[in-house]
Amino acid sequence: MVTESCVQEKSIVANLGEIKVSGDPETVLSCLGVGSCIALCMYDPEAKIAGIAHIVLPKSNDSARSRENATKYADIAIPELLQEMRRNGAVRSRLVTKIAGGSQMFKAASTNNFDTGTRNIESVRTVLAEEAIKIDGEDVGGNKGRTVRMFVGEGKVQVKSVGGPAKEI
Amino acid sequence: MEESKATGVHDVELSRWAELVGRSTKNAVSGLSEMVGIHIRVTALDLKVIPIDNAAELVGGAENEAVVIYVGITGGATGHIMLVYPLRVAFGLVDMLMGEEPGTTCELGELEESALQEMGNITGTFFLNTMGDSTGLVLMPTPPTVMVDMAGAILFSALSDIMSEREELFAMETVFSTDDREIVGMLLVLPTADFMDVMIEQKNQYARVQW
Repeated sequence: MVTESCVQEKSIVANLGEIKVSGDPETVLSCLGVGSCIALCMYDPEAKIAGIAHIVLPKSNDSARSRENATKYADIAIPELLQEMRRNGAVRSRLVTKIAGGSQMFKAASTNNFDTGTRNIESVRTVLAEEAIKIDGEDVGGNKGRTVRMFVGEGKVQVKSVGGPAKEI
Repeated sequence: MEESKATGVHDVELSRWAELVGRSTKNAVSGLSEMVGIHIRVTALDLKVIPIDNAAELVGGAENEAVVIYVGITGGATGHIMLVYPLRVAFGLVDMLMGEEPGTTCELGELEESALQEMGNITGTFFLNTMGDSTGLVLMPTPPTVMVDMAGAILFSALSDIMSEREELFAMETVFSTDDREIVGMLLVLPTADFMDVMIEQKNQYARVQW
């Protein structure tokens, strides 16, 4: 988990399993090349605090929780992102939450892990519901990769796939 | 003997893995040469052990648009084989596979994808046959899949099962070329945690096998 204050950096990328939070209105938070992963975006429009989590897997187990990069799991990343947002001044009741990703990139392949995208979507929805957080926008499923950009100044979330136009969710 | 903290894999196993994958790769390229009737040579083989967080480096960045020919490894152990090429290189590959002049192919339709799938099929089959012969494991390829998308999206999706167990990634980067055409791309072999566990558990048996 990393909190960025962003004095000079205008673009912050959340890599696999990372959480990034920023209150710099000039900054864009991104998850690049999202396939079966989920980019979870949260924004407090009053405090203008934005956070993004690059979730890789649906659910942790006991041994996973103690690992350094445990925020790759939805059930760990979501509470951590909420905590980090609050620590940076965001108020839970004001949060606007959007999700993108969960593709099934290997729809024709038959190895056992390739429903990860679907399981990630289900897990993120379940954990958000348990946290009483409403999903305000989403672009999930399908079989294409996505790049997700969140503009801290306005809270806009933009999703782009290869060969397609960028769209706001 | 040094040991990777995250994986518990010793250097000697890594060395054997590198040798095994190297030999399998050379045989796979040899099979490909037979398929197209052109001499193809391996110009670089490089085993990389990198943090999974940095995996995007393997494919030139997560957003990099690429053609990926994917073959899953099933059977006695599981993993992933990916041939990753920039679009223009993939067009050149199709030209080579279909016996066309360089520059003929400028899009990937059904026929072109079928040619690339066949390339994945040959590469995967030869690769896994060699690996199976050397280890005693029964390894089978999944039907090949051709995707044109963000390389990171494809790679990260394949890595998700590895990430549940490991923090590091074992990848073999391979570049090959022909006498008159440059095929600069990547053959990535990504064993799952299970695969490496099987290797370690059976190392005494492996020791009796000529690697």
